[in-house]
Amino acid sequence: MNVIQYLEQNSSLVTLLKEQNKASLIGISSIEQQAILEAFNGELNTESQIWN
Amino acid sequence: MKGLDKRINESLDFLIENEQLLGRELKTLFHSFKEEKIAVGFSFGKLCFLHYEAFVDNVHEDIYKVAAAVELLILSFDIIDDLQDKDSDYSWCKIPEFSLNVALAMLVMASKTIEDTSFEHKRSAIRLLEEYALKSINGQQLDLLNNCRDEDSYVQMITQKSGSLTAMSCLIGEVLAKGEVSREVQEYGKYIGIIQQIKNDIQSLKSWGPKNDLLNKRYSLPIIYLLSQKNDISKSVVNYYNDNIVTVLDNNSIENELKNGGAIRYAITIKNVYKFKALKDLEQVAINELGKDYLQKLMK
Repeated sequence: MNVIQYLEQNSSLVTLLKEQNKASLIGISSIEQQAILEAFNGELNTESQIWN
Repeated sequence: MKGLDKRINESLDFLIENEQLLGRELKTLFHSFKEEKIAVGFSFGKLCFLHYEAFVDNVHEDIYKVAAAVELLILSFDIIDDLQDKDSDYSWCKIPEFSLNVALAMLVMASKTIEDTSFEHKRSAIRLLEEYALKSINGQQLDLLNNCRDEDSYVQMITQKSGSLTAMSCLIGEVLAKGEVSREVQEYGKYIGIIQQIKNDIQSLKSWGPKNDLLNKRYSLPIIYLLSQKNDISKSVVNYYNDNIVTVLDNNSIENELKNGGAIRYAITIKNVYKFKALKDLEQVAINELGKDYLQKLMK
């Protein structure tokens, strides 16, 4: 949660993260970093296919 | 997959019509409740079927009955959840007393249906159904208590409530085919439920009506994030939740804060973590392309 809050306030860091090797998040696993980047790429399809 | 939905639907009709111990009144309600679920599709029955089909050379016809049994259990839980939450337009909310009887009958019929099949490993399947159903009921209780107010406890709660049901559906299919279950199917089966629940939670915040978790003072990941913020909008939501003062919520500002303040993005990030874990586990399982495609869609 703290990482998302920080990135929300420092959007330039998100750009650097997207350009590989220009920034990294210490203490964050590669899966978590991938998850964060994808969330910042604007994927907002959130309709559940099995519950409504 | 449409053909599979049709087969499960036919099996449900068969099971309802051929249950000698139920009267016409209950059967009519049974059919009408089931009909309302057709539009959503029988995702849980399909998970069961796909994980059976993947590990056998020849598909036994009884698997459609088992898939229907899984759907009976899910529908009974849906009915009970809606009666508890009182936030649904489904017909089972009109006369709760009658609907509870239908839900109870569905629960009993779910295990009885599996018992009546000719599968060698049907006892293992019933044990899985009982184990995961109890886990889900425990998760439902935690949800109703509304005490899961941080990320860890909330994810644990939805793992039990929702993850148990998706995992159960996959594992029943797998155990009927192989007589044993695998860690990978167990894990990604659980993750599918977590992913779908988080998506459902986000969706609930998109309409400002009776199903909106924030208006109902419920907790979910985006709300947990919003409440942790230190701005005026989050403070007004905290006051609303604490009943401190009479609070007028500005829905436009809150929707804007949820969308642009990071709350939705945070929930999507957590969902994505489970998506990547699920996709990784799926790589280890030998399921045909059609099945893999279906599972991958549920993981996104």
